[in-house]
Amino acid sequence: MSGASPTDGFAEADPRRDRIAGAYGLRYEEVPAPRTEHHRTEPLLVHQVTPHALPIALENDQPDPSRSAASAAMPSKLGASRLEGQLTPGYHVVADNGALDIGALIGTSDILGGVASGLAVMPAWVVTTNLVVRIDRTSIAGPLHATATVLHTAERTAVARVQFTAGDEATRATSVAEALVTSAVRRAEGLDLGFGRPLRHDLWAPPPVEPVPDWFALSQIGPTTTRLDLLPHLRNPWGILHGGAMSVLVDRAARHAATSGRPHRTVGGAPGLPSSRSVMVQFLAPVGVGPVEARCQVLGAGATGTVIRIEVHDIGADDLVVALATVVVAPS
Amino acid sequence: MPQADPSGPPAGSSAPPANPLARALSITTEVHDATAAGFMPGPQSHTGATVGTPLALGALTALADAAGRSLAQAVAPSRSVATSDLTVRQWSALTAHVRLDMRTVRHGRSVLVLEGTVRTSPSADLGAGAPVAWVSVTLALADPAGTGQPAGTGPAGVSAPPVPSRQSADRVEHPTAPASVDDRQNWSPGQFGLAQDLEGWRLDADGPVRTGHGTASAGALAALAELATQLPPPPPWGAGGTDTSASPQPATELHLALLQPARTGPVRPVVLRAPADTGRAGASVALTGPEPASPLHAWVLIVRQAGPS
Repeated sequence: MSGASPTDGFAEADPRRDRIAGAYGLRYEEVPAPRTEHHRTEPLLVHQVTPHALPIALENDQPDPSRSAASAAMPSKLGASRLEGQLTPGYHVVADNGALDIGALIGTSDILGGVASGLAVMPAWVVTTNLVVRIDRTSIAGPLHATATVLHTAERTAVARVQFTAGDEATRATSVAEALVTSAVRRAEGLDLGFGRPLRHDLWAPPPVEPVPDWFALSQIGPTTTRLDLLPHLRNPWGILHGGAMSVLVDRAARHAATSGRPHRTVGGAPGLPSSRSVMVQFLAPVGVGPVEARCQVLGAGATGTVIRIEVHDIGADDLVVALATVVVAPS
Repeated sequence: MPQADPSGPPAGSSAPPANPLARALSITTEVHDATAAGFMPGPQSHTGATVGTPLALGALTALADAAGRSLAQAVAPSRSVATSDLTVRQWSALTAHVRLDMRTVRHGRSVLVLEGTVRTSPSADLGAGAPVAWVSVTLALADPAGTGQPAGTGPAGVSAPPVPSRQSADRVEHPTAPASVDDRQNWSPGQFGLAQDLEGWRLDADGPVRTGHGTASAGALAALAELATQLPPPPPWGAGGTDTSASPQPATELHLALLQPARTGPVRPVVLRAPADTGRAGASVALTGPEPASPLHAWVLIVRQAGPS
């Protein structure tokens, strides 16, 4: 879940948000933007550069046609907002084989897509409803180039495309992942969001020192069930489980289920779990109580991987189903 | 039991969806409360000819879209429904008839989330075999535009599809494909309204692939995207059918995000390929109109098995 919207005056940064951002090696700052008639935005984000940062900058609403074949083909159709920058993974989101943890990458997709969409629909805000990520390359250590482009906004929905590429600045030739983030557009009237708008984050919090499973409070209940304790730092400013953390849970649970908990030898040679290759999460309800359990079912297996269906339940909320997901895990 | 919208199949009944593409593919759906069963003949085709190539993922998408919208119209009869996101994951090649059993997993004020399992099935009214694919459909629910306009009908100037007649729940009808459609295969590009010209594949969205809203159906858009990502490029599809000797590696995953409706054609694909990695080849397809200022209609993520290097 992500969002951005200006009202009058600044508000103090919410430290919880800082912590969840740090979990992904992400830093960002939101500053006021002039409102325009068509929800378009001017350059308005300047991001800190720290060793663990994802310094992303919002470009003007006219994309650079030279960036990609897609933008060259339809330069007039990408009119909302665009985030672009380098992703340098912190050590806390590095997997056993030295590569960027795919779950963290999926979570970052949610953040970037949500921020881009939120900026495009100001003064409204957004909640992610559907996240789809196709992983094209695993065993990538970074740094990565990240781009989030809003494809479409409407009265009630926004759709953003998030790309991660590797390679030098000139080429950025290797696609690492691509995501589509569909969000519901919400109006803030009558809602207590817990903080004022616009936000201004004065970010500097040390990144967490725990590895991914510890930071995200993950525990394995059985071969097909993974639990996440809803610790305070995993909640977003609305007080509910962050969509990125949900993505990490789903990713981890599916990878365990695909191997029935058996260790798997990764490309790098170290024992671990096979990588997720494709993730789709439908966010059905906010998670406010916890703990949260991802219960997996193996649907089938083919040449490109094992298809896992996951139901995510909020145990403390009468076992409510809060998300559905499917994950394709690389063949063992 | 709510009364179904006249543009969709009545709840508890079996009828061909009011969808020309579904009719062309001989898709039928049977709706019961919050579940639906869709059936589509396999590559053996209407006339029994064996073709030998697997069912395209675009055809499965069309099945999911048709069954999903039929179910949505039954469970939300007073609302206008439109597909917004659609995901299909397939792990076994399909060379037989298929049955999709779909259920409602969330029915909110403005959204309906459905999911279902695709199995092989000898016929629409017999049992189903092993699961071969999984689908998820998200539909947006809205109040019908205008005054007194029922859900599923198009705006002024767009004709509503024919109203299916009420039938008994235990009877499934296989409508005859239109005469203009090559009936030797139930997934030929022509049946999706797709055609090839010097610029590549196109979808004539004002052709016979519209939904009840008068817009190109998700199934047709998915078929266009899938066709555009085939390597090697398929040979021209003529009256003689297709040359199956150069069949592309099958698509196994497809996700379609509908952005803006396509009411007129042609819709063209812009393909972005991701390099193949460990047996998979990814591609993204932007579906857009012919002019620089044309809207972006949909974005599609596709995964295929990687071909021999």
